Amino acid sequence: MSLHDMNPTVKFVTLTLIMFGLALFYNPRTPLVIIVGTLLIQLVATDVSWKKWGMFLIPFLITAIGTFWTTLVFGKNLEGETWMTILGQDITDEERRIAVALSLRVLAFTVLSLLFMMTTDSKRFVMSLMQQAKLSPTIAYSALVGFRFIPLLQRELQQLQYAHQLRGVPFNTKWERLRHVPKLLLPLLAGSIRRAERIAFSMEARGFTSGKRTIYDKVEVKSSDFVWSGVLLTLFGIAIWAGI
Amino acid sequence: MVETESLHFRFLESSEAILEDVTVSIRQGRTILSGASGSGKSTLLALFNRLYPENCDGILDGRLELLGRSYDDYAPGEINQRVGTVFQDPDTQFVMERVEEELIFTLENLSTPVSDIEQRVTEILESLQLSDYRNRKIDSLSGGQKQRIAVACALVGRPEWLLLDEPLTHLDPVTAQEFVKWLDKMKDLNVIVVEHRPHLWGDYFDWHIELERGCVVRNESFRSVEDFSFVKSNASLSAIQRYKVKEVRRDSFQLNETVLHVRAGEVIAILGPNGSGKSTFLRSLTEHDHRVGLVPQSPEHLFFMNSVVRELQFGHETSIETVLSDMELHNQRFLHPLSLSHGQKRRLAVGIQSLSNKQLLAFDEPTAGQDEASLHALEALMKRHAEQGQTILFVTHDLSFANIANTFYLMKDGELSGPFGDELWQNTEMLLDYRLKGRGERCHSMT
Amino acid sequence: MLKSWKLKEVVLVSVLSVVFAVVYLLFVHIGNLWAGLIGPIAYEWIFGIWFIVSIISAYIIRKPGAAFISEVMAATIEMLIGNAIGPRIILVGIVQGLGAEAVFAMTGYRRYELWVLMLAGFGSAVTSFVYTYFMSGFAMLEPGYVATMFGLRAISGMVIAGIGGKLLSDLLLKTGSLRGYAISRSGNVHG
Repeated sequence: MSLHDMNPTVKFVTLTLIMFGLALFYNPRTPLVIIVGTLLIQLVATDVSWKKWGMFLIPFLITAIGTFWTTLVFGKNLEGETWMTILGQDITDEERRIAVALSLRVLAFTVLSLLFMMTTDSKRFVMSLMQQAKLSPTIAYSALVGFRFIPLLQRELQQLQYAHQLRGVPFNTKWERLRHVPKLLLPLLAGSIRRAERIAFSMEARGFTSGKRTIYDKVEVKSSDFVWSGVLLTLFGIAIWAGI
Repeated sequence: MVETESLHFRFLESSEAILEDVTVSIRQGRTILSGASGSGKSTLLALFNRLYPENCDGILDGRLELLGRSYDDYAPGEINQRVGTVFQDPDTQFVMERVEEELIFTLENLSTPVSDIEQRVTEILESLQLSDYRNRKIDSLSGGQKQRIAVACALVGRPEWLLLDEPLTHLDPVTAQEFVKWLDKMKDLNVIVVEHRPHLWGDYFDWHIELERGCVVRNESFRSVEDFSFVKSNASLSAIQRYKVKEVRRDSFQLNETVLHVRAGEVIAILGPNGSGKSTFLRSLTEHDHRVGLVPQSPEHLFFMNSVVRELQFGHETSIETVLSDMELHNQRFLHPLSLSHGQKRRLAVGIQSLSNKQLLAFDEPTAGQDEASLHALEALMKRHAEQGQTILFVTHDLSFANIANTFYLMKDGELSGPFGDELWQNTEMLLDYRLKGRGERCHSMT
Repeated sequence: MLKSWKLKEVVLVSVLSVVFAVVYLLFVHIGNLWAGLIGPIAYEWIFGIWFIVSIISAYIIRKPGAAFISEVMAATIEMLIGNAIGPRIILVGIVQGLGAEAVFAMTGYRRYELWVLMLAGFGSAVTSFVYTYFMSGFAMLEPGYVATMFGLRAISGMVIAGIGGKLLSDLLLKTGSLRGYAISRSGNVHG
């Protein structure tokens, strides 16, 4: 019974509830327990690539560090023993505790999000939203079209950059490339809009409407989904208890 | 199957009619709908599968009956159960990732019972000899393969009718010919094809309707048509120049190093099938030599300013007035470059290159999807620049158009061979080898 | 809400989202480096980029729901592409979309002048800031610092999403690719 098989919508709702719940707590232990628990679940019940996971985590580690010292410096003044002094500002133990809690919260959000992202197939999630959460098929399939559109867009972007380079636009440094982005945006958008129209016509010509359709690939809600949901919510319960 | 009587159509925002008094009756069998770009043929097709007038702000007058019922009598999507459509662009016809998923998507649209879907998919793939593609990623297929999958998707709903909107545009001639042969095997199919290059279809059709500026100018039994003809450039040739094309290596593909000796005023065609490395060759040629100017297949890729004038002025101080009038763009000077017609875009691209004093103008696939008038305009443009002493080099798989060239090179698997003169057209073995000509096809008339 | 929409409009919204998602990826690395140095405030000044899709869509399509649906669609696609913010991003999309949508609704979906678009950008800034305030625990920060963050986000919403969105859409109109959409019929082609 792996987390990969869990119904995407049930997984989504469960994890989102936990994240909202987490936002109510300002002690470091609650997010810490969530982080440790989630990693244990990920270790036992999934086969995600930890290397890839690590790569995704890096930017959020940076954000967490940023959050930590921002909270120290710009946090509300709280009573307590002085922990240390930065730039002539006294920082109390209580203030440090809050800073640790908020940066751990960033990491807890990230770990939960990555658990979802790395165990859920995108197409299945959209199909599940359509079947379980009543997402309109028009939106669901249009989103899939957008998703499929990416490689096409990347090729187009390369061709544009190449052609502009031929005209003498410099693309050597990161800054030069970035500065030219606004000029790439317009042709990219204009081309995409024309393509969007053609794709929509193709879909309609093949009988796509917002109305009735059959569903071949059913994404089901099984009893094991609720077991998983229970496990995750129990983890959250333990995390709250640990924080008291 | 289709009956129209004095059909008029125009878009809300313009006063110009797209269709004017069109009265046709299309019966079972195979019908071609030909005409130049803007003649209204694609609009007419879009009315047949009811994409129009719903999807555009169009005003339709007259009688239009589809399969025995008036067009406005159908519920949305209803006609698409009985009519299948294949479009021109292989890249904008699919929603899902894999071939099988795409077919399932179509059957789901048509509310096919779930229990039948598996079998229907198997059946259609078998009958079209496409079973091998069932689990392939659509993005990984070639243009010709994608068009066949598009046909499968159009036919999987068992329509009474198949509409094809210029389905050969992005295919090389042999692939196009194979596609037609493959379609020809389906005997009881009722087909309407929109096409501006009827000769590519041989004698496939029964009936021929031609439109010109929204009016029917031909409505008769089909007789096979000769292709448009093009005349060899006779610009005088002078000084020899040397261009080195550097080697390019990419995963499984290698472009070999070549040295080109060309003359000022010479027109050169580089021929070869899709995927043979022609575009890579042009890229390598342009990248390493400042004497070379490139006109990409989509000329608008070169544009990034907000008006024609600013586009021409970018990066230099030279006056642009001569070029503006040479390229007949003075009336468009304040328009946005992306809003120009294809022909105007091409001229603007050439204008940009002229201003940076390029000696060799290289065109990447300038003929794809072009109608007769546009091809002749291209012919004139190239010849004029050759006469002014520039060298023109173009990559194409349009063998008729290639006729304007003085010199030919062939490209296969990244290897360039040539130069050849007109004797190339007598060398059947070589043409077959380079997939310029299919087996059993009569040799292209080249004069 | 979706009933009055044409399929091509929904696909348009989807494709616009993808373009901005790809463009956004070009910027995101810069944002991240900043974030380590100067904290969460690093993102505030470019936050308007997140709202621009909904402003452009509403301005082009001019139907009820355009701002909201496009923002949700953008978020969904962002997640499909593999944005590590993950499922939360959909909630962010819903919240942001509601802010802009409310502004357009207040005009009865009849006004699309610059000030309305800027106000819509401001609307997204407000709703999204309420969300961030709660989720990131801003209650624990000095009110002055929080106010600065909000100010930056609001300005970014009005300038990048409002003004930027209008400029870009007007340019697109000039390229002729928006024929057949409500913006082409609005009559303020050069306004």
